[in-house]
Parts: sequence; structure tokens; C-alpha cells
Amino acid sequence: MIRNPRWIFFFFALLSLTPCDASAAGLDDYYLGRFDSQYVSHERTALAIAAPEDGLKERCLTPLHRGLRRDWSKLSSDTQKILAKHLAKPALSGQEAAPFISAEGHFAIHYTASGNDAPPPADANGNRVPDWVETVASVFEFVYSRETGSFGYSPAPTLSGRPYDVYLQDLAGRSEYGYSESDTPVTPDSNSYTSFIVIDNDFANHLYAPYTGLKGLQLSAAHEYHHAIQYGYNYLFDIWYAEATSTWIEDELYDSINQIYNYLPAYLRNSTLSLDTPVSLSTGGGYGRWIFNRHLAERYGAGIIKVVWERLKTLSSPDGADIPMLPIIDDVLRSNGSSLGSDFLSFTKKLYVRDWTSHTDEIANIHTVLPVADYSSYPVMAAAFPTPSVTLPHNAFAYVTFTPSATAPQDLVLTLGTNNGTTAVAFKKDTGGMITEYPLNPGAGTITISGFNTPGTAEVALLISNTGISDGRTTNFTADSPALPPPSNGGSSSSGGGGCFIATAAYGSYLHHKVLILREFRDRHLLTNAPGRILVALYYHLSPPLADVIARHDLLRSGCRILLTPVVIAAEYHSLTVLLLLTVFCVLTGMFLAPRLKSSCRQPPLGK
Amino acid sequence: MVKQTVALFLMAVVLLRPSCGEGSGMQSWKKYFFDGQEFREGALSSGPSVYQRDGYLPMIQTGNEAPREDKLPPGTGGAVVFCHIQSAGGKLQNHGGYIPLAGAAVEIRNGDRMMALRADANGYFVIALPAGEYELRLQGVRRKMRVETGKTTFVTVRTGKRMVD
Repeated sequence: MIRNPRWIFFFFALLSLTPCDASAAGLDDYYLGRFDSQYVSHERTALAIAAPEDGLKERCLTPLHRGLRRDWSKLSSDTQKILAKHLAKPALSGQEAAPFISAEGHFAIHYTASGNDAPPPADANGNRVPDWVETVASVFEFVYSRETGSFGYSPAPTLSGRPYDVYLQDLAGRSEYGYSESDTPVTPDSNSYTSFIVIDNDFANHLYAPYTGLKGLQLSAAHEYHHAIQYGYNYLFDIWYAEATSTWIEDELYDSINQIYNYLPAYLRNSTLSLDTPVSLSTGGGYGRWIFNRHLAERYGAGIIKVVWERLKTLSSPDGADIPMLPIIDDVLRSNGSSLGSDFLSFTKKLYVRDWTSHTDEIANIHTVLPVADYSSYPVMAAAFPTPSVTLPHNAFAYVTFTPSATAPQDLVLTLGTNNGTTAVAFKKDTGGMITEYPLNPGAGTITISGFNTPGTAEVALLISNTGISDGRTTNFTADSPALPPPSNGGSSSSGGGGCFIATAAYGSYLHHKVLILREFRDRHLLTNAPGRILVALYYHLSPPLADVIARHDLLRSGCRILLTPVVIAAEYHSLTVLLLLTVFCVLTGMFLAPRLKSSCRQPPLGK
Repeated sequence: MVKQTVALFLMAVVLLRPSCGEGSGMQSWKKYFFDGQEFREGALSSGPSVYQRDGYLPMIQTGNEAPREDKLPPGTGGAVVFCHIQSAGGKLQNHGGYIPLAGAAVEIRNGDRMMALRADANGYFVIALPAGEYELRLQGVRRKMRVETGKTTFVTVRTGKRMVD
């Protein structure tokens, strides 16, 4: 079996990682053997072994999982450690009742009648199944009929066509509505995975207010079951788009709940982050980006979202990484005569103009755009605060507003200097809410808004949209002043949602991982609160000239990296570290300077 | 004076870097941790760290004690494999991260030879292998792994996702 003597060295490593307990009793042996046989065939100890080429041997694992859950407490701690992964499906707080099968047979609702995980026990129809469990089953059947019937998605796969597993568990303590988790490949080496769903057992906790009870159940079922569908299409989905789609479909199924609108302000506050920015409540990543799907659905029909997912189904990833969705969306839009860039621009316009054509009675729920800067003193020149410059990553946008004032010109002339891939357009809104679009004059690089300083004008909004796939695209602008601010350093450093001027200059690249750490720190901890935003705005106002000097001198760049080290460490590891470093720095500096200050104090005044 | 102050500060930074200087036996070891996406140099306040040193079998430890110094056999390299499920999302609070796959059974293939290993309770295993190309298989997932003599290879195997909302 082992022909090469060098393989004997495997023992070297293997002996140090054999958590198996050789003295495990009968139950331990049984479960270890049964679960082992699912993937490999080998001896109890983890020695080099040969295994059959075929992968999964036993297709239906449910009885085995149930048995493992039932006998869990009887197993040795070593065996429990080894088999813990097989209990990924939740072990409920009490004896699990027989799963309740939904009316159409598509779902198996797992619950317990005792402990924290038990659903409300009321049983009005006396069938010995809690009414809430029956409600859960009917809600999931409704979700199934809409998502697979009306919207045409393929049902979430299950092994051997068994009902899909839904578990009721007390999740309020974990601050979760629910979750869906991939389980096993539908066939060996497939990217199509089975999955299971866990949702809160009653949605009664005040944590879910105002979406308690049935509302919480409905939006969670719609959301999680679409994730289950996504696992079936290709579990290597891009997470931001998975959340954007699952959130979008909540309101398509349950139009009156309207929780999804709560995620929009975070997106609009962070519109200078890319459409595919990582999932985050604070930036609106993922959840808040659902509204792009509504735009696509309005323009091409809801089926286009399904086409995107079906396109993903055909793709694979040689290194097992998630497959980016933006190129897929672009591909699908191009086959519809458009492109991601074109639709992203029309989407960002729609956010201001608010000419939504679906869910029209809910347009008021869509938060208005949040400008990155507002000017009311004219002219707006390079030295203005905030700096009249916006740098955007791919598929990001910014609104800048100009309001009439005593210094406003009669006709507002916006002069822009942009990189390729960035598009600018202005809107004039009158006091009656009427909006007029003013395109960019590409030859002159200007947008002229006539009648700006008139009583009927409420504001002018300048939309700067990076419709391209490149990051760090800078647009400089002035108002009522023909001179543009000096161009930035090639767009590699940025403001307003981009990078850090000084850190980028010090580390030499916008993509340096320490710059990334600082950007993440800014996005997560500074841009999420008012004082932090003021600090960032001041930094962006003051730092560009410093960064220019730093970038040109190696010694300054080295010094800057040293000075930034405690900040990066604090952002990356723990704030205690930076306190320690700063303390040491202060002590050392004090020790170094104190004798010199003393001696300088002792010197007689000059001229005496 | 500025240069001297900067030099002093630099010394302090070097002395206090978290990846070194924690004990006399750890001077040449580097600590790594999994950040949810990849291995990075440094350590988390809790959880296991990977100790790496060229020519030595890597170690997985949760404490700060000096790692055991086991030299790699001639012609072999070290491999650190971490098996996990990715966790993402969170409507009420962020649940981004990962869930280690305790006890995961991983196949390692090299031509017609095959062996299987179990991950520990934290989802890790380490192994010394002859230099060469290998394929890891865990459930439906396959990963290529290149082992170089005297070096340490880091491999993460993500077998699925948990979407939390």
C-alpha cells in the first residue's frame, strides 16, 4: 500500500493529531464507523490508508443524524469532538417530536415540545401538533409556491427528494432571525448543495419588534428559502448578491411588511462604496443593495434576477473561491441590450428622481439620497470645504448638492474633470418637486444649469457615478469657477469613500493590506457615527497636501509607516496594544527630550 | 533630534511586535491566524494560532508557550490545513466569520496514493509530506496543495456557508 519509504514520515505528523479514543465503547465505535464510511474507508486511527474512488456511499443520512443526536450524551468526549460537525443541524433543547410534514409535503418542520426551543404550545385543533408549527409549515408552503411557482426558481434540492428540513430553535439570544446552511453536495464534486434552515421558534422576543410573530416568520421564510434555492444553484455564490436577492424577494412575497426599506439609509450613507461591497449592516453592504434588484426587475421583469442565478449555476471556480456576481450581471444585461454600467447609471439617477414603477405606494419608504457634500457659498473653488473632489470605487456613486444663496450665480456652471468610467449628470429640483436633468457637455466638461438663483429653485444635485469596473476614479469639480482643483495622484488615493491619503502615500499602494485595514477601520468605526465622519472629513480636507509631500520622499514615507504602525496594529489587533506602544513612545521621548530641555533651561538668555 | 526620536520609536515598535519576542524559544517562529478569508501573520486574543518556522513541523497552539521543535524529515515540507464553514450576514448583528469543522475527515491524494486525516477540535491538522503536488478532498470540495521542502504550506478548505439573517 505504501511503496515509497518516505511516506513513513506521515506517521510523524499523524501521531500528533489522532483525537480518536482507541478505547471508545460500542456506541462510539458504531457512530465513528458509520460517519467515517461516508467519505473514506479506513482504520480507526488516522494512518495513511487507501480509499475507494467513489465518494458518498450512503445517500440518506437523516436516520443516522437523528440517532447521533439521540445518543450524543452517551458518547465519550473525544468521540463528540470528532463527530461534532455532524451535529451542525441543531440539537434542540428537548426530545425532538416527530417532524411535522407540510400539507404539500415539501417541508419537514423539526421542533421540540420542551425547553427554550419549544414553540408556543397552543393546539386549538387538538391534533397534538402546536398551531405555530402548522403555521410555519403553511408559510413555507406559500413561500415555496411563490418562489418556485410564480418566480420560477428551481426548488432547493434535498437528498432523495425528501422534504426540506426546517428547524425551530430559540435564536433570539444569538440575535438571529434565522439562518440557512449548506449541507452536502447533491452529487459528488457538484457545486449544487442541499441545505437546511433554522428559524426562531416563535419570533416573540422584543428583539424582533415590530416584526414579531407572523411577520418575522414570513420575512424569514421568504429570505431563508431563497438562500436554500441559491445553495442549490451554486453554493459558490457571491455573498453580497445572495443577501441582496433574498432581501429583495421578501417584499415581492410579503409586500406589506416593508422591513427591507430599513436597510436603505445605510446604503445611501455609503453610496461611495461599491455595489458589491461586503455584507454589513453599517454600510448597507448586501442587505441595502436589494434596491438594485428592484431597478432591474422594473426594467426587465423580475425574471432577470432568476436569469442571473441561472447563469451562475453554469459556472465553476477552480480554486473554490466565490464567483463574483457583477460580471455575471453585466453579461446578462448585455444579452438584454444593456450593460451593468448603463443600468447602474440609470439606477443611480432613479434614486434621486424616484420614478419607480413598481410598489408605487411604497416610494415614500425609499430614503432620499444622502449627498456627500452640500454647497451654498459661491464660487466653489478648489480650496472649498468639503474638498470639491470625489473618488469612487467601481459601481459606486455620490451626490453633491448646491443650494441657492445670496452669493449664488444666476446660472450655475459646474466644471468637471473626470476619469474614464465616471459619468456626471445634474438635476435641478424646483420648490414644487419638479426635477429637470442637465447632461454633461463632454467637450467643455461643464454642466450649465440655467435659472439657478431664482425663487423657484430648491437645489441642484450633481450625480457622479462610477459606472466602470475600475476603482479609484476621481472627479474634481468647481461651481461658478472655471479653474479645476489640481488633479489627484492618478486616482490611487482618494477621499469620500476611497482610501487614506497619507497611508496610501506611506505604504505606496492603495491596495496595500495595511491601507485596507485602515480603510476598514474608517468604514466600520468612523463613518458610522457623526464625530467619526467629522474627523474623516477634516482628515480628507487637510491630508492631501501632506500626502503629496510624503509620497515624494522615501524618508518621510518610512517615518510615516512607523508612525502609522500603532494605528494599524490597534485597528488590526487590539486597542490595548496601541496604548502600550504609545506609552512606550511617550516614555522614551520624554527620557530623550527631558535632559535637553533641562540643559536648555539652564542656558543664560541670549545677549546677557 | 527628530531622527533619534524616530529611531527610538522604531526600536520600541520592533521590540513589541506581537509576532516575535514572546519567549526565548520562539525567536524564529512566526504566528499566524485565520481571519475568515486567509491566514495572516499575527495572533488573535483567543483561539488557536499556527506557529510556522522553516524546516520545522508547524504547530497549532492556543497558548503562548514555546512550540515543540520537531524538525521536518529530509525532503519534506509542512502543511497546515484548516477546515471550516464560512459564516456571513446578520440582520441584527454581524455574524461574519467561520465555523471550524471539528473532526473533518480529509483525503490527501498524490497520484495513486491516498491517505486520510482528521482535523482536530479546532478544524486544523498539520502534516509533513514529501515535496510535490497534492489534492485535498473534503466532502465535495477539492483543493490543490503544493508542498516545498523545508517550507510550510497553508491551505484552507471551506466546505460550505451559513447565511445568518
